[in-house]
Amino acid sequence: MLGLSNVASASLIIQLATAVAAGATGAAAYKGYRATGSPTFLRLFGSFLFLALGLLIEAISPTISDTVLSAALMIVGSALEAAGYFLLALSHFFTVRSDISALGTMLLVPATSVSALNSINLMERVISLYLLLYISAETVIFLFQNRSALTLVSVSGLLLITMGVLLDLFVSSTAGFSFIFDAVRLAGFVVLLSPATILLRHRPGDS
Amino acid sequence: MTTYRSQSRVIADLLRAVREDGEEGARVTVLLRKANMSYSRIIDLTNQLVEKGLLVKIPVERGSLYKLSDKGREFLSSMETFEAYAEAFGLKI
Repeated sequence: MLGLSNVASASLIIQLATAVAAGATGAAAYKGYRATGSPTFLRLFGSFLFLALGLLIEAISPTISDTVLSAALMIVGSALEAAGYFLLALSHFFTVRSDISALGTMLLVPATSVSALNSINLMERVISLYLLLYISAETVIFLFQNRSALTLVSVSGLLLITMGVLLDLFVSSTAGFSFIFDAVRLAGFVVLLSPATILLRHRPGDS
Repeated sequence: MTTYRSQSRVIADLLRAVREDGEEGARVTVLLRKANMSYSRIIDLTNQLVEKGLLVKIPVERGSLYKLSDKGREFLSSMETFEAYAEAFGLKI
């Protein structure tokens, strides 16, 4: 059996790696923004920057001995993560904004969660989950419309992140398993990072 | 259903239309049909792209032909890479 300190260390390492993966995806999006000036890449960059910062703060908050400060940092981290997912959802909304049903889906989904909340942190995580479900649904629709292999990769990554957040939200009270859920989320962010390899493979002058 | 296109995508669509018309060059009438833009916008944009060295303008009898320059080909290739990256996230640039 893993000791509690080992679980905490594993969880910390996994969460830091997740923040790095999110940060790397953000850096690739920033490269896209610099090259194209596209607001889509700016939103994608903002989204993954917030996610990386949020994940980083969430990772280090349990290591702080002051419990009030630790809880406050956890709230800030969760808020930044939710803001990241919100920006990503917004990007999807702008991509499909000519279709009014997208707005309906976006408004409908978070409205169902409010009654279940009993803390700010929990509320932020539930909002993140619903935003993730919205982003995943829009990406799946895009996949069916465009049949792109790279989109399939992102769908897999988003589903892994959603699964990690979902499990963490509903099963994390079972002590000792949170690092497994963190690992699922890490796998999701690593999968999301993989399309960036096409930017690394690209050489100016290729056609 | 109308779809919003960013300026980068409009430029990429125009360059793609020029490329699809082959090495001999494309006429404005062909670009009008392929790039889905108004005449005045095509004229403005092609002039800007010629100034920036992405397109080469070749005067011919009754008008001009437009060809991709090497810089234009490189730009389009980069744009297509970034378009593929955005599409990986289910997004359009």
